[in-house]
Formats: sequence, structure tokens, C-alpha cells
Amino acid sequence: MIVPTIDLRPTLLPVRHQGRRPSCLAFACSTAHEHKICSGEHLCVEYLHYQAVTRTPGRNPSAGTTMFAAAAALAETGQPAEAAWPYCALQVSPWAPPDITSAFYRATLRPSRLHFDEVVVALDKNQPVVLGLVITDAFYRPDSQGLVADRNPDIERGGHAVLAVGHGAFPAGSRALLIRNSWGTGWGLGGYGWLPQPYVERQLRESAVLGPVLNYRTNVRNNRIGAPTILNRSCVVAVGAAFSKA
Amino acid sequence: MSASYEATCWGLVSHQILPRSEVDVLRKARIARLKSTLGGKFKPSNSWADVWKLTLKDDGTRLLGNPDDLLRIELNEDAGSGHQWRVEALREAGYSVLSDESAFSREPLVYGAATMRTLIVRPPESGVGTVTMREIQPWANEESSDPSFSVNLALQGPELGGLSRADRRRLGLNT
Repeated sequence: MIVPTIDLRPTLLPVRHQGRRPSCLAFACSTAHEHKICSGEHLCVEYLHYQAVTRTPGRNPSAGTTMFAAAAALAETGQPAEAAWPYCALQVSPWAPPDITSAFYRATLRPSRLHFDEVVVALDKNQPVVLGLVITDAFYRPDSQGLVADRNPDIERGGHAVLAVGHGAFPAGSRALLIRNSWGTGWGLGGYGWLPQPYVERQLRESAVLGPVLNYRTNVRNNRIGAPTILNRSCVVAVGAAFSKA
Repeated sequence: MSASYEATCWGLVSHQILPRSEVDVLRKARIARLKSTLGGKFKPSNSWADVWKLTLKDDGTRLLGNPDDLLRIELNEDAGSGHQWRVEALREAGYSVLSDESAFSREPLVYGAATMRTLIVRPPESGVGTVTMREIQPWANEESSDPSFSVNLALQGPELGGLSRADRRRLGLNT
């Protein structure tokens, strides 16, 4: 049984399911973004994924996205609220955003490769961390406590992004990260799981933390983009509330 | 029904499917080397045995081959959305999984991308039967919409003297 030291789950919106689409990174970034601006509603994964795909070499909607593409999408175009373009569990074709006139939220995402202790420090500061992992067979079968077994060797299966939302320790003292997945509530403990420190250190390839938040309104169809303004967190919440009333 | 590699090459020329120049290049290929490459570290136990490369395009196919043949199964897998081919179905059917690997882009690392899962398997001793794998989320129940891959094996080698297998089956004799 792992005892959580930091657990951001109560501050997050319900876990979602990406279906069969390669949109895990957009889900992880969107949840971090929702937490950062206290959005109170889901942000538009579909739009962020679309913009990240257009910035990923090959621009293939079935082939996933890179961390740098997601960072660029979040900073350059941002994402509106979920209602502007609801997520579809199946990839549609043709695929293009609708006319969106609601508020867009932008943020800086700083890709890096944090060490385990640095991820813990960020979480202690109430900052979720996007984790870019190469997952192994064990990741698909967490136990009843949501713990992913630390098997070495284990067969590597592919790139997958999740969001670190807490950390804790086993009674014996070894540590683990609490992660939020986007594979629905059937995976792990209601969609959350624990990654032991050795697993994280072995399988983590990239990480990213949200930096300053930018906010602006835009009309995508006419490509009118207002001048972005750096807002602090309380301002963003206030502006978001104003937009929702408009 | 099958044909040798050499006969297939000449058949492609005679039916004007490929020009002679291309077929001459194909004829230079060393069959043993091709089999060895397909099987990776694992080679068929004798030079007569084959390595069958199967992909999703071969779903439902029936293979007629030799008892010592190996299978190389290559399947796209939605690894980033939590889906895996249920390889246990092969083990439950008596197959030996000799190798199990996934290929994906590491530079740059693309999150959520489908991967190519490659299995090298030795068929069960009987060499006959149908096996079906489904691509599922391991923690969830199988759904009828999950992709599936089936192969029907008849790896009994050439007919021996006496009654044919079909006749023996019809007469209720052991094959």
C-alpha cells in the first residue's frame, strides 16, 4: 500500500478515455492546463491534438505527436473549452476544426527531461508534470492497487504520455509517482496508477511542466487573433468566468 | 497447393506479371538466407522447412506447410491507446512464442503512435487447427468490435504413401 505525500486528484476533473486514437499527449497536456487555470471544465483535447498533429512530421492523425509539437500548439494556438469541438473517440475524415468563437487558452509548455526528484519537487509546488514514457508490458496490467510492476527486463511497447499528479512511498520507504492515464476509469485505480521510482528512471524519456499562461479570444474562421496577454492565475480564472458569461 | 520459389519466378515471367530482368534479380536471392532473415535469431530446424510471414492482410488464411515451419506474425498494434494483441491465445493453442518485439519511432519519440508487433512462433506439434487473437485492452472485457487475426494451419508436410489424409479422415482413421 502506497501512502500519498502529494495527491492532486481531488483538484482534477474526471478521467477520460482516448479511445483508439493516439491522443494521449493532448489529454495529458489538457489536464495540466485545466489544473493550471482552474478551468472548472474540460479543455478541448480534439483541438489541441489537431494542432499538435499539424506540427508533427508527417502530419498523420493516426500516428501520434511529439512533445515539441504539443508545446508549440499550446503556445501558438492554445485550446478552447471542450464544448467548442467535443472529442470523438474515433478518428473522423476529413478532420478539421469547426468555426470557434469562444475563448482560447494558451500556455507555455517547457519540454525537458526531469529526474525523479525534480518531478517530485514540481509536484510539491502543485505543478503536475507531463511524462513522456516508453511503456512496457507491465504498464498494461497494473495490480488492484494501481501499481505498475517494476519488471526488468520487460518488453518495450511504444511511446505513451501520462500526467504525474502526485507522489508517495511504500511502507519500506521506496517511492513512486501517482499518474493519471487517459485509458478510461477501467485502467488501474479509476484511471490512475503508481509508477515505482526505478520504472520512472528507466522508462522516462521526456517531461514537461506548464509555464506562464497566456489568454486571448479569437475567431478561427476569420483568423482574427487578439494580442496575447500574460495573465496570472487569478486573472485567468476571472477572464474565463467573464467569457463564459458572454 | 504450393510451388517452389524458382517455379514461381518463372511463372511470373511466363504470365507477363514481371519482366525477365526483374525476375533474374529475384532468382539470385538465396532462399536459405531469406528464411533466416525472416526468422530473426531463430531458424527452421531443417532446410526444407519454411518461415511464413503473416500480416493482417493474411487474416483468415489457411497455411499448408511442413511440420517444422516457423511463423513470423507482424501486426499493427495501438499500443499508445492501451491495446495489445492477446498473444496468450497462441500459447493456449500450443504455440511456442520464440520472440516477441515491438518496433516504433524512438527519434523522435512519437507519443501514442501505433507500433509494429512482431512474433516468431513455432506451431504446435500437431501442426493443425485454427487460432484467433484479438487486439484488446488487457484490463477490459473483449468486445466484438475488437480487431481479430486468425490463421488456419495444416502443417503436416507432403502426403505419404497409402491412403491420403482426406481418405483417412473420411474413414475415421487417425491421420
